[in-house]
Amino acid sequence: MRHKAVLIRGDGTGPELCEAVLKVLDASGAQIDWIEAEAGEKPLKRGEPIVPDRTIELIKQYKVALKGPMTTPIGKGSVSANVTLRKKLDLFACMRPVWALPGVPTPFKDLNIVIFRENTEDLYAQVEYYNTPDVAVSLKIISRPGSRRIVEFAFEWARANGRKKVTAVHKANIMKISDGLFLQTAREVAQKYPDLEFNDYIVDNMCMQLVTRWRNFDVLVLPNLYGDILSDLAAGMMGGLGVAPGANFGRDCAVFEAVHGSAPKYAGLNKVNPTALLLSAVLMLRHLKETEAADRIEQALYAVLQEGKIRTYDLGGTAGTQEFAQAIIAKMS
Amino acid sequence: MKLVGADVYLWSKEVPTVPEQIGPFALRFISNRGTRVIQPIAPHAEFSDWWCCRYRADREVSHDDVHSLLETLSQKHVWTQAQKLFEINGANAYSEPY
Repeated sequence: MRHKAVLIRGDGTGPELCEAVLKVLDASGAQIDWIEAEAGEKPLKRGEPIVPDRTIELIKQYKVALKGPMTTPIGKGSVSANVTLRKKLDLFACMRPVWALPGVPTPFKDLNIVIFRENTEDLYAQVEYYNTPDVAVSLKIISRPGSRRIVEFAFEWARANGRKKVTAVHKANIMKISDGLFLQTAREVAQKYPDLEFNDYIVDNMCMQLVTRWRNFDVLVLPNLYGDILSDLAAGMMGGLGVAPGANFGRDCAVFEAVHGSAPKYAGLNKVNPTALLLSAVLMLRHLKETEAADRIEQALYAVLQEGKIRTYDLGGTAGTQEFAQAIIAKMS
Repeated sequence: MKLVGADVYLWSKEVPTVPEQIGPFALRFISNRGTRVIQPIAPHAEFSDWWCCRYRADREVSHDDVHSLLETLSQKHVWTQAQKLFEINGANAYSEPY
């Protein structure tokens, strides 16, 4: 079946990563017509919003997008393209799966956890004020509907994908009202899923447990800030941001993206590992029910990683982005 | 610090209908959890029942002006929190929504 999907090539190394990933997707047999859209530095330099309205409308129309990494300009008044996409498309569920990849060195054997991070509220609402010249405040907004939909999403995904346990992560022992609301809501939602085990951990303890007893965890669900931090911690456990995929889901749309930055200092050098974006594309294929193509890419990638002959610099090799992609394509054929 | 406006947080099931102008203040936007909602966003975006209405003047206002703003809004709405907006050295001392 042919699909249509929006492609945002992104900034820095984004275009060369997308080029590599598109070649692999083409070779996998997946039939995707790409609708190109822009976000990030290019529209910003033309004086347009960092995510032009056309891009938002295209994603709303086609429902699915693959996005290369984008640069968030540093400086007063600048906004993040990633956060803008999440807000404007109401992509409330950020999924960050982490697992031990064959051939990628990690001390965390058998790692296999899927993290769901709430994407639209908490301190990421970015509601901030100076109340006096010496005191600034940031509102941590946790809502019952916002908590409910992310926890339900995590449970639904866990059930649909044969997972056994969902763990809610919070700091309700200190933030008894805001994180307390998240935890209370999670407990209420959990009652609707008696077939799945549910427990909860305080976020600081969770950090320690993750790196000492990672096999005890299956699916994690967290408010925005804790989810942001723990998902990068977990990406490190997997082997680094160069291999960690991500997806953002709303009710109607989904945007698939590598979780690393645009690495502008490597732009045009054909150096960066495309695995994170490729695995994000695999998540997209599974979302589109293109299971065969997804399996084919994953198996070829695993074979290349396992052999270890062709590796990018982050995994101790010298292969370039395109060479690594070609090795995966060769395995598929 | 120069007082220039207020964010008034209203408790409402729907996007509240509020005056565009109250005294020296103009309504700049309504947001929900940091996301601007006056312009339509996601087709089925979901919101909480807590809406931020930003009223900003184009000059320095008095604290009494803010009290009057609250009194006017109170006639038809329930506000649960209000935050005065300041400029510090000519720069806005508050964030903007997405």
